Amino acid sequence: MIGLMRGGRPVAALLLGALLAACQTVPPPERAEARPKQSLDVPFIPQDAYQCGPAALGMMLQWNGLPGDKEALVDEVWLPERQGALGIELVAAGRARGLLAYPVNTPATLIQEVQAGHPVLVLQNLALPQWPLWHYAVVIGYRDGGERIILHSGTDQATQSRWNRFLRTWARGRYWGFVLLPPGELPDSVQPEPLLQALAPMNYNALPHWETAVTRFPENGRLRFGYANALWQDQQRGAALTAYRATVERAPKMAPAWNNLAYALRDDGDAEGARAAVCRAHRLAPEDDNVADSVVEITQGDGC
Amino acid sequence: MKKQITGALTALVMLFTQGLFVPAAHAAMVTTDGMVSSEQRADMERKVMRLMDREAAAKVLAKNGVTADDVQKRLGRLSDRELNQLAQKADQMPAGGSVVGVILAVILILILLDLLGATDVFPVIDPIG
Repeated sequence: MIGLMRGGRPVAALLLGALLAACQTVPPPERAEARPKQSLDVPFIPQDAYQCGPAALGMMLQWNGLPGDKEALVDEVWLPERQGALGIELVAAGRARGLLAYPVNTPATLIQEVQAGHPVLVLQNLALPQWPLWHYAVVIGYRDGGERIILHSGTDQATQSRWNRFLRTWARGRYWGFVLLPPGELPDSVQPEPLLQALAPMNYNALPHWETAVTRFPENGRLRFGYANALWQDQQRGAALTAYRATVERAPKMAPAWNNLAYALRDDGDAEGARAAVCRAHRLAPEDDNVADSVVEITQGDGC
Repeated sequence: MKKQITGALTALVMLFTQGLFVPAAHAAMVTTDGMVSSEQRADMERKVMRLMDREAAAKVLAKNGVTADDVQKRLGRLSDRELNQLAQKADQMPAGGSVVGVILAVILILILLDLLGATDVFPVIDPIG
């Protein structure tokens, strides 16, 4: 009996808490009112067993016009012992195909992206914080001014979930989500710093994304730096030199940009300019080992 | 602790071996990912940490049943920060699975919570009210 009481109390408290939580309703983001419904045409892939990660990723890839065979994706993102997939690996798999994986972490930006025509892959905890049931689904639309969310989820195609119900499960997934976009396209909710963070680790087909980024944020020196590096990596030396110059013009205190400008100038045959640039980098970042070594290399041991 | 020391030694040995082949150890262009992650750490420390993280992350993937071939392929795609997360916090990171496999005792409570609209374990159940 005592044991029952002991076990009973937390459960009762939990139920009461859940009851109260169920009473709290949060309305859908205001911007949903501007367009009461939206439904995107996203190919549906039903999941097998526990494999919602490969299935959800496959849908995002197919929406981008790429092969999204879930069996092949299992080898890329599945963790057999965990019976699941990690979010960072889903992001990395998209990025490795030359797609921009950009985070969507608020209810307002979720609606904003869906309005812009971009499906959003979300992580939900369908159960409770104590007994998590992690699940990936793809938000493909909404109706009734956002009161109902439309998802490709598990084995259900275009299933509907009430806004509040969805929001709770997404909040328990720490509002983790992302869009996956082809070159030339940016999230409607794009901000320069998250864009830089999303593009920086990209090794395949990154250049067109950087081009789009500097067109969208022409005054941002950090994005200019990424663009210049992508040009350099693509062997477009002349264009990279111009881009490094444009970078230091907008971000005159950015030591890495002066460092790289020095190499681009040296490559262009301008030894004096290269020396001035690397010394400028050294003055800005006197503690930086990389820059210090660059000084030795560029000035051929003479120093600044 | 011993493992950590071995890891650090391996990383250092790897670094210095690299150094033998490349005379100017790290005088070079700065990559964009390098800039982003070195804003948190010094450059040398970053390289050591990356090697150590990569080794630890490889163990995490292998332990979770990923084949040796796939481990290298999958690690090669991660940014410095993602490698670090995988190396340090993989166990706390949610692995999205599915809608099956809940312990029976919990199911009843979850049905109730589903009815209240607090959870969404069983899509068939619509919340009351």
